[in-house]
Amino acid sequence: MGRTLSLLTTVLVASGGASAQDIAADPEASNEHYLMVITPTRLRQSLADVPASVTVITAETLRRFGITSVPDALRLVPGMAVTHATGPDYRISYHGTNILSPRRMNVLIDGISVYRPAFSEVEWSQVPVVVDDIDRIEVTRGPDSAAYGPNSMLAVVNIVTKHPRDVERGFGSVEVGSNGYANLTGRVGLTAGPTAINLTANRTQDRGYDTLSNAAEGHDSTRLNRLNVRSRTDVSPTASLDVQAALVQGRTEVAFADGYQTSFPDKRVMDAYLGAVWTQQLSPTHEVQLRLNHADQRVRQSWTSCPPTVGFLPELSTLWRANSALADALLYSLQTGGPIPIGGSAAENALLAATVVAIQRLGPRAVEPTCGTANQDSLERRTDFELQDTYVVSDQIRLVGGLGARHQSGESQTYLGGVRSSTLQWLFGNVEYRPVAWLTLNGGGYAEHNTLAGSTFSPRAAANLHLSADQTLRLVWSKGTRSPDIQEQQANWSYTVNDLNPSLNGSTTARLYQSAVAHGGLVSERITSREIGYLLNVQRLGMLLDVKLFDDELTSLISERLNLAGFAPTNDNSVTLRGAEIQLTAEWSPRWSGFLNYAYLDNLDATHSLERSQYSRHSGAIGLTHAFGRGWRSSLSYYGSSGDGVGESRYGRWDLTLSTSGDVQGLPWTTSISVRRLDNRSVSYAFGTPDALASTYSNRLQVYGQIGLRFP
Amino acid sequence: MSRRRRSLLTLLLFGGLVPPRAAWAGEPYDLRVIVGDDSGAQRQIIQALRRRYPSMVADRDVAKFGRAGRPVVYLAVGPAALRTALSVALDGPLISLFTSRQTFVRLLEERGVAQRRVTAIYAEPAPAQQMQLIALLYQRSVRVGTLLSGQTAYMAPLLQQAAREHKLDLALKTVEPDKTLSRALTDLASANVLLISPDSGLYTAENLRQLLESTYRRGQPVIGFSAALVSAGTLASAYSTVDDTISQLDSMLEAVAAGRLPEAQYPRYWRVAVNENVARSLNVIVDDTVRKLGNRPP
Repeated sequence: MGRTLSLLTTVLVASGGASAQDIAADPEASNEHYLMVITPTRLRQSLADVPASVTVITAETLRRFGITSVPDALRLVPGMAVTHATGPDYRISYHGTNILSPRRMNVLIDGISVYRPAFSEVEWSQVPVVVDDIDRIEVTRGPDSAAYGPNSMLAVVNIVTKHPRDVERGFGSVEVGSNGYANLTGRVGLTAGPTAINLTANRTQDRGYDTLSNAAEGHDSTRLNRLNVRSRTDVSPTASLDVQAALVQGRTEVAFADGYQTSFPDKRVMDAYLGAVWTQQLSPTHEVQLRLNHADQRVRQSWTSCPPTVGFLPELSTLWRANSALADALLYSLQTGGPIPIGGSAAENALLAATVVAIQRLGPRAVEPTCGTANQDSLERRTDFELQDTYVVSDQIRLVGGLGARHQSGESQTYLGGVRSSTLQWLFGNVEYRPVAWLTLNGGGYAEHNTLAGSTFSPRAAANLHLSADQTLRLVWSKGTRSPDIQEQQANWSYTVNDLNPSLNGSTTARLYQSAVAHGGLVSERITSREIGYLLNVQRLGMLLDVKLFDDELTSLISERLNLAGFAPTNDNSVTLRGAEIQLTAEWSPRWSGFLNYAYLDNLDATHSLERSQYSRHSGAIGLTHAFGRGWRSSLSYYGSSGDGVGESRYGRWDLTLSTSGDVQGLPWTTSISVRRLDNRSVSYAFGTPDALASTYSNRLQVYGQIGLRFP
Repeated sequence: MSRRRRSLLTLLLFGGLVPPRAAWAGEPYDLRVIVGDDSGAQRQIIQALRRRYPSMVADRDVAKFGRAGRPVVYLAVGPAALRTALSVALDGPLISLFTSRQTFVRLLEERGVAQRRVTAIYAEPAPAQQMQLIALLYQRSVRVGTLLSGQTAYMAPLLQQAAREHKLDLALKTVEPDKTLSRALTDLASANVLLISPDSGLYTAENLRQLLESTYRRGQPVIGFSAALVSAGTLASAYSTVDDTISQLDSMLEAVAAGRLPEAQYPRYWRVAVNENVARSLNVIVDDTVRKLGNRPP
């Protein structure tokens, strides 16, 4: 009765507006609705119930510690390997492994993957999100293929942007800093009836490093423009429509593509994303979501290359495809004046003879350069739909399940010889079951059929034992996969050079002799992961401590460097990753807060050296921030990794940020200055060759300043 | 309610099984209760009052009370009843019940009524009670965000004092009339917890829902102002039951009987409601000392 009467009290309190009346009328319904929130595990769960170790980076943390990019934000994640190879080129992977092409971690923006289907990569500098739009970043540290399928093999990074109803009417920000860094952002928030829209425009530019291994003056600047639109329409009290669109356009400098280049192979990029989510609440405990997404990721990359004319001979190209070693030996002999090699089969020797005749026909021009325009243009496309059903059976059982399909393609004359595509269909389901107060069980799996890689199933089972109100012990077993991509399975790689000058045999177009064709037959990479976690929540200190012990076996790995000179991907490799991680955040007063994370990693039994090319036995970060009052705040943080991988350098960086805020005629403003000190001016990383590449700043100190104005 | 259950309730209420407040029967006042409407909520409150004061009379129409043979005390149950009561000349002091402070103040201002013959027990918990709840919940100093409209700007000193008493850091934001509520919340994004109070200048049924969704998206707990809001999705609230309010009314009526009309006041007796699901989702640990917090009637 007491409760009923308290509800009635609220009815009467709601004098000035009908306000609380409707809520009070059906409080249970409202309560259940409240819990229906989509998350990386696809069920909104507390940290005590979630079947994985999770790192949450909030917008507030980014602001307090002066973090201005997603890659830098990920340095806050224990065990996350972040290598800034060149200006626009980041290699990021949870627990590292193969630095050449980190492709075992999925990246979502509001649940939509930005993983590129044809070449299995995430272009971190081009992710279609502006840092000022980020509400939080949730990182599931461990395989999450059971919820998000293949490519969520090591971890999932979910970047959640600000809801259109949560942004100001206007926002503008200017940031400038060392190495030509500039970042301009403008955002408008509008409300029209049941629809809220935010529109963000951004321009980012950065001169990159001062020196690169293959460009002494450095040539790795980034200039990108972004336009993001997100809207939310409450169609009815039980239905809503979310629409997101993004454009990323610009230019990123690339220093090197081939040894004969006479211009830089810079990239002009244009990415377009469009997505819509219809959410329908069938009852207070039952919700259905339909998602439709499309992404176009286009790269224009061309340069002038001037190889010896012999490189364009069709006869040499035929010989290369039959016996690449014999072709290389022939070119070597031509270069050195040595004897013509022999040693192939009869057929190969016949091809060799035909090539020699062709070379003789060219005469001296054979070794003289012929210039033309080469390109690595590509267009990757993915279109997918997904239907998801979330159902709260009772206080003890919650279910989420669904199905989806995707068509994805890659188009590139250079890499694929045209257009190659694949289709995927999937089914998934997860259940959370709390049979007693001290135990939460999670189980689920994701089955996918891929026309390129066959069928996979990724299961997960977890038990969270709540030792007390503030302590949880977590036991997780899971499997995950990464599907071989379109290039690995269907590459038809060769360079057609246009605008030849002088022309060759009357033609201004010719193909370079080297080529590679994939043989297919690759299967998915696999991981089996075991994790023991411990979560401690000390509320009087505002402290959350998460400790994790893990043992991950990665098998069927495709580890080989893929290049024209040697295109032979296999599933023959494996590596074992074991270690421990600690993650601590604390906010023990409104003025003081901080974080500490540390990861110890053992990279064991790697069968290919590249699987140890991104590896730090020790890595971590520590930060402390203090609010002085009157809007002033200072933060100090350190990020470091021991850099034990093949060709990998140690990384360390101190950041000191001082910020203040106020308002002018009711308009709140903020300004900050950050000083960074690098322990090491250079970053080195493996390239699959005996020598590592390095990128170097001329100065250890970097300074950044920011000023922002809000129109609430 | 079935006819049989209603009959049983009637028997219990009027058959003498629920003991009336003996002291009142001897008071030299007639107790007249002005009712706002015929809703179930009102009916149940009237029933609770009648259990306590069996000789009281209740009606929506003040004119039907007729002339009293002795002094009268009026009770207005809810804002509609208060509005009615303030629109006529009453021949006795008026006590407002189950109306928020903001509505009480606004109606008095609108009607131009001198406050000396009108008092109230507000419906919502006192800021001090809410701050005490927050302090005990977090067991440390946290930043409490609160939105005020022009209609409730007078609350600022009270909130600041309550926050100081409990060593909490208060972030107050006054919201312009044309501002969307969830956008206004962006000013309080750094607050550890949001405290909301009844304010018709700020909250409607629709935007309260949006507020809950917005704060939940950010993982920002909300302290509401009633148990119903806790059921709807706020983390916790201090609140008073109808019986708590009636217990406080007893002492107020005793003061009236002694010739004094007490100042309008917040509920003296209160308790705590917690939404365990929300607490779990937001990683907030609620121990029993929080659940037992409050001040029960003797």
